[in-house]
Amino acid sequence: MRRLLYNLKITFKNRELIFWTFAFPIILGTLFYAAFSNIKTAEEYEPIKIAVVKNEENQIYPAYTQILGSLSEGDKRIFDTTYYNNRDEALARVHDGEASGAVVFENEQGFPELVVEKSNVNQTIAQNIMTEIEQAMVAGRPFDNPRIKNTYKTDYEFTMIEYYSLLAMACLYGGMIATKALDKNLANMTASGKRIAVASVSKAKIVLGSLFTSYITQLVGLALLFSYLTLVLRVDFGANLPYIILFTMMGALMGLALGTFISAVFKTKEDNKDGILTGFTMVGCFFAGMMGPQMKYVIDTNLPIVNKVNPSAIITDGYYALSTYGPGQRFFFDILSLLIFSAVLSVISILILRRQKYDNL
Amino acid sequence: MTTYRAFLKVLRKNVWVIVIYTVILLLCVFGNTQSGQGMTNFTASKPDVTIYDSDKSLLSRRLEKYFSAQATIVELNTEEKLDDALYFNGTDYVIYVEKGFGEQIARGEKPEMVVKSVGNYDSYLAETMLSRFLKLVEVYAPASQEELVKNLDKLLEHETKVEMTSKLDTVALTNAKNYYNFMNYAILAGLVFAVAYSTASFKREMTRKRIAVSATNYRKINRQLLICNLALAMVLLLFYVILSLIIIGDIILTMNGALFIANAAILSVFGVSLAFFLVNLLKNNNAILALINVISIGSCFLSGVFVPAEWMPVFVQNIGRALPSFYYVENNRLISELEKFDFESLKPILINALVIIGASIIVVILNNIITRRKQKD
Repeated sequence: MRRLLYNLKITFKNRELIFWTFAFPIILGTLFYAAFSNIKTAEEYEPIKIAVVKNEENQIYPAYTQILGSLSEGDKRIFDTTYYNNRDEALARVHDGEASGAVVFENEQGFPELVVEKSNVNQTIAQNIMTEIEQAMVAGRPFDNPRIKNTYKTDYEFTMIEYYSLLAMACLYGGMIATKALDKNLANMTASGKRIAVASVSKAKIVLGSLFTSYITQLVGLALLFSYLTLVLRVDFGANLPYIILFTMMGALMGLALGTFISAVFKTKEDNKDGILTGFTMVGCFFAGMMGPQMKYVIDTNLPIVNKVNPSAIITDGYYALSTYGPGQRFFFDILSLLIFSAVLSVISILILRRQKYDNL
Repeated sequence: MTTYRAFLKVLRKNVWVIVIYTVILLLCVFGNTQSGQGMTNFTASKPDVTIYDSDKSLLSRRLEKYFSAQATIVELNTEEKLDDALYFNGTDYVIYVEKGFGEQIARGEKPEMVVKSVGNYDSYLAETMLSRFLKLVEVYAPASQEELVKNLDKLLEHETKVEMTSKLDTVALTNAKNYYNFMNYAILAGLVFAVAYSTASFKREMTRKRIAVSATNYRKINRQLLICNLALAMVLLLFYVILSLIIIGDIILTMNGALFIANAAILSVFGVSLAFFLVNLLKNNNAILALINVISIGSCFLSGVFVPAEWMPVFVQNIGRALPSFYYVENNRLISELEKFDFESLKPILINALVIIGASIIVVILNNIITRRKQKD
């Protein structure tokens, strides 16, 4: 118990460690919230602004503009239409970005052209609608609205992948605590490690005690991050709180095993070990969708093996599976993957660390 | 020469950072590259559409053919793959053609089309395409499916002409803009990290003391370090420019391309001054790494690299305006739309560039203040 308290004290006095494992994920979460809070509204369809050049001499102008008028009415209107006396005025609005395109009736006969400056989705929608009007006029019969039913639930937010990958990052960054805790007990890394190596105490008990303290500290950091995300930023992780807690503990265990592995395998300075863990985690989180949720999908579709061995992607996928499909096969497969990876890394670490001898120190 | 050699030796140990951020840059770029470069005519956007045809009739096959001409067909053969694709926008619109679709339309009925739409602009475009198809086939019903397809094909010959006033290769310029936007992250993270870590080696206490007692003037060493770092920044910039030429193409060799490069060069100079500042401010390499990560990722999010700035709330956009990256990204947007190269057109770009240079000068001044205070101590 005393050793546990000493270890906790040593851990919490390390400011850089506390920054990476506690503060940095919270800062990043705040940035995500700032960047994504408006994204759903921004992606919703807004009426396309078009500039129409008046040409009363064109034969179909009255009928055409009547149809355009009906498409520019109501809350679910397709267009916001403004009329101009000449082509130059209308094109000036297009050039300024105030209109996506200009509808120009060049001749006395014939259908109008759409004049645009860019090839984007707004211009394509405008072209589609104008083509439909033209085809309706050629058919000479009125079009009825078709029956289309959208059955997709609209409360999804694909930017949640960012928050899931943030939790994954926080889990794995907790490995730094394990790295530092283990380094203190390694004879080739610190003076205290040398003393422990020659002392008549059970090295295994000391190391396990340090790792247990690391795990507790990780869980505290993750609890703080999760509370901040849900209570302050109001990020909705769904209703499966017990499974979220269970999965987060698995993620923290993965971080612990990763940190232990890096500390045991890499015979280098502490800073370099931190760099390896940071680099590995950041690259992993990139593939898990932290810098663009679509990256996770691209990798899962084209190079699935990469994300199957990427702990960040496994943790992110677990949270995603839980919120989308509930606690089902995919979610438990991710838990199993984390357990297997943690076990493999831990076994390798134990094999390297047990009965370690040094030629010189 | 001693300083330069020592710098290169330290840099070699930190080159892995540049490799990591270059790989991240390339992956971001490949994930956001549009096809259709070299076209100066109007190129219609193509949504991603998935069709499940349970009917296999003449009309349902015609529907598939209609969409293959206007959209990108995405094949997804399991429900889980479909759900994932919808969630991650791997597909924008899913159409379920129920059994009996062709027969019902031929009889003059209006079958209900079940779809899954994610609600973004591309799915709205896909829905206008589906709506148009259904209107065009239903307008001549009741009739045989062969007649309906024949009438449909006749009507589809009519299409609104689109005139492009801009002669720019907008796809290539958009790809170039995306590349140079993501370069913001590579510069602020990779370059700043490499410069900071390499310079930090010279600022360690024992090294500083050895320099202080040596015959060489410390100002001369600082000047040499600055030259090394600027050279590193320019070499890295050249490397990224060559990569952009390989990935994006000849557009980099145009005036627009030259402006992209100049914009990136100005940001690189800011990156070097920022790295010097961080090294003087913080002694600990881990603290420097932490701050670089916060600054690079924070800047990229708030300035519109990963998420378009116009999608963010107004107060967040206002915060972003305090960052040099915001003006760098804004310049890339202006450059990608630039057709004329007169003073009026270039003025907003020059103003943004001056803001970034001004930020570099402010950082240099702050750096000098901190250096003087440390020397007094």
